[in-house]
Amino acid sequence: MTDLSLTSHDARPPLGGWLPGVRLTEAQAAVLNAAADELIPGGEGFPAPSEVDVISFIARYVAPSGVKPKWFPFFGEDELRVRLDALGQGFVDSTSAQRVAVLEGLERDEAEFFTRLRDVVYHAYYSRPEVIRAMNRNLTAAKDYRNSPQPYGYSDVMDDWDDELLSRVRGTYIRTEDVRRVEIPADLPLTTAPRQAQVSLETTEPLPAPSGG
Amino acid sequence: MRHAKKPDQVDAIVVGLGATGATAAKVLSEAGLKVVGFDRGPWLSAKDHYSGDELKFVNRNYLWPDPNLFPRTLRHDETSAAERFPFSPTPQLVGGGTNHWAGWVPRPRESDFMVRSLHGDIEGASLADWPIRYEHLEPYLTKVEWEFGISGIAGADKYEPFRSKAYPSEPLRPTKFGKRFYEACNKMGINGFPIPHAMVTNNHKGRDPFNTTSFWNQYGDPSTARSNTLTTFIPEAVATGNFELRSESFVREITVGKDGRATGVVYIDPDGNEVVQEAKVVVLGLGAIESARLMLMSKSPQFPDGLGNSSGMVGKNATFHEYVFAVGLFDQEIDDPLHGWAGNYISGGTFEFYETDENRGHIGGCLISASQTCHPINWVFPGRPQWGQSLKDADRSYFNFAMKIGAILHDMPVESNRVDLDPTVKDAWGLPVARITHKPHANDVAMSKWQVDKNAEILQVAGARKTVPVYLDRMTGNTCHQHGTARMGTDPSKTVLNEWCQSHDVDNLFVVDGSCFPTSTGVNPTLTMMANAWRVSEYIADVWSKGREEHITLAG
Repeated sequence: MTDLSLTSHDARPPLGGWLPGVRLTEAQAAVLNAAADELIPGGEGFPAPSEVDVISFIARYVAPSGVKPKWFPFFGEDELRVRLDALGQGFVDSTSAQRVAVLEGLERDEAEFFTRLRDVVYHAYYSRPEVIRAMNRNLTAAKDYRNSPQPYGYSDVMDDWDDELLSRVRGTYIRTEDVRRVEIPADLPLTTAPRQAQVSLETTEPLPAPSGG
Repeated sequence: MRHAKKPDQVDAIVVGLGATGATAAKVLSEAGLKVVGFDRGPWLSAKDHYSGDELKFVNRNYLWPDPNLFPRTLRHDETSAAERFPFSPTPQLVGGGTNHWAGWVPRPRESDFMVRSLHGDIEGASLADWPIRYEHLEPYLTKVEWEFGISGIAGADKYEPFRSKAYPSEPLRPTKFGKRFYEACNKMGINGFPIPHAMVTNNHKGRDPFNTTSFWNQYGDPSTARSNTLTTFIPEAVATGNFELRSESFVREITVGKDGRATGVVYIDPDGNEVVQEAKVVVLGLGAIESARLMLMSKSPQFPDGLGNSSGMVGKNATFHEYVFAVGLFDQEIDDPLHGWAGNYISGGTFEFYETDENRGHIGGCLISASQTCHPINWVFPGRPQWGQSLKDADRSYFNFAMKIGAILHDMPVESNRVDLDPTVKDAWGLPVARITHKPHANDVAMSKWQVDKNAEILQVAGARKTVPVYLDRMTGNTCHQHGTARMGTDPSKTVLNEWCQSHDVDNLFVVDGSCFPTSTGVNPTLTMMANAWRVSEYIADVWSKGREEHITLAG
């Protein structure tokens, strides 16, 4: 017997994260919000992460205590709490410049933790509906960006082929039965120097030229 | 150890039900053979499991093999210790790589089948000709294009060799990125054309037409527009009544009898039992890494070095097609944005740089193609700031103002680049995992440099204000293309398979995946692999299983 606990059990992460989600203390939530707001500053029409409740997204994707954090964001509840407690109220009360300096220190000295924190904040922020609406409003290039690409796709906003472009790439081809084949020698002369790798293929008509429109 | 009741012998076993295994299952079962197909992974319902959920598919790698259960190891030279690395993480489930692929399906070129004849021997590489030519494959390329569902414009690729039929479906609509690529190509005299896609844009064979988003590339497609063997060839095989699919069943050994012929396989079923399944013929389609591993693990007194490995070549000459690219950044103050946002959508490519030109300083060449820069949240370009105000500014300035032109690196076969059994690391079943040893050939490095620089030049002509090249560093298996580990050829002392992908040593063992490729080609390989699998399966059904034997003799 193969040990099935190794194979089928727990092989996939729960979709939508773990419910009901890790409940951070008020103090921990304040630290996480303060860090998130420095990682992705709001402004110019964009909300700050703390204004769009990144906390509840993160709370669902952090592996609860006792579950191995083997999937993105590779964060466990216990580690997150310890880290947030260590930053503490002092971090929340600091100036923005001081908080950035602390984060720069973490980026330098605790690269793995920092990267995980940054990645999960980034994912939480850019998946919030308010942020997607801000993108639609503020960025020309994102005016038709939407939260879920499937199943509807982007057929309504994609340009069609225009006649000029289509005629430029539209080709013709020679059916196999119309092609007069040449036997390709099995042992072409070997050379030691690289040479042009063009195989001649005689056809009853010349191969189609690139169509010019 | 508990054993389940032994099932009855069947005509054929197919191991691995991805692109090639599913093709074999379809062709063999439609020809009337009784077939059992195995896949290590689950048999999912695309409609229920697949979506455009970025976190699920990109960050949590829903379709990748679990690296804890199925690790692989990688090293970059002979002397280093191999480290665990998710090398070439092709999905291991029914449908295989066609569950997550972009589905670019250009045809190979005539030169791909005769690389050694054209170039001779180059130092440090083991160039070889194929024992077949393009003309042997052409009818099957056409069959796959029509049966599997491919969109494109016949003839738009002016360097394509002869073809017998046009495509069943019109090409995907061009993105603004694609239009910029075509404009640059026209200015530079390059033959740009819409790359054929494994995606239907009409109701071909009753399927859903394409919904104009690229959230199928790395994701699973919940519709039936994208050609996936899970939703095409597998149900067609099942419909014959001759095909039985056993998913979550891990084949750990191919067994041989006293006469040295394959008798069947030993597998572990979903309940953890070891089961023996006997068959008249065993067909492998696990991909070039796992097929080689299974052959190497199948040791017997007749084959102490692994099944079908009397040549010692199983696992050697592995090629992997690293994806290299240049990114172009546009200026939103000046340029039109490149919306609509459709994801990592590609609509243009060219074979202009495919054939050898000695002035470039390397032999061979590759297909290049233009696309957007990945996913909305995991959006990134080289040199992008990591966090803070500068990141926010970059996101605002460049989101949808960036595109890339990539290349599928036509890497040279090198004998020491190989797949073998890791001496220490084991999988969840306690079996040795595949160890990859790979060091790029000098030609690979030169080709990457030249092509990425050329791609940057095209981006500049397309209007990019800044370009960032990303050259070949080390092989990471980022395309999930795998080839070469059981080469086909005429000499049994130097190759593993004959021209029918039949083992030189074991006449009832066939390998239909990319393992058989003597050289990697410079195109996305799946169309070639599937056409070849169809060709071989037809031979098994029509010739071999009737007790006959045929050989291909190349004109000389």
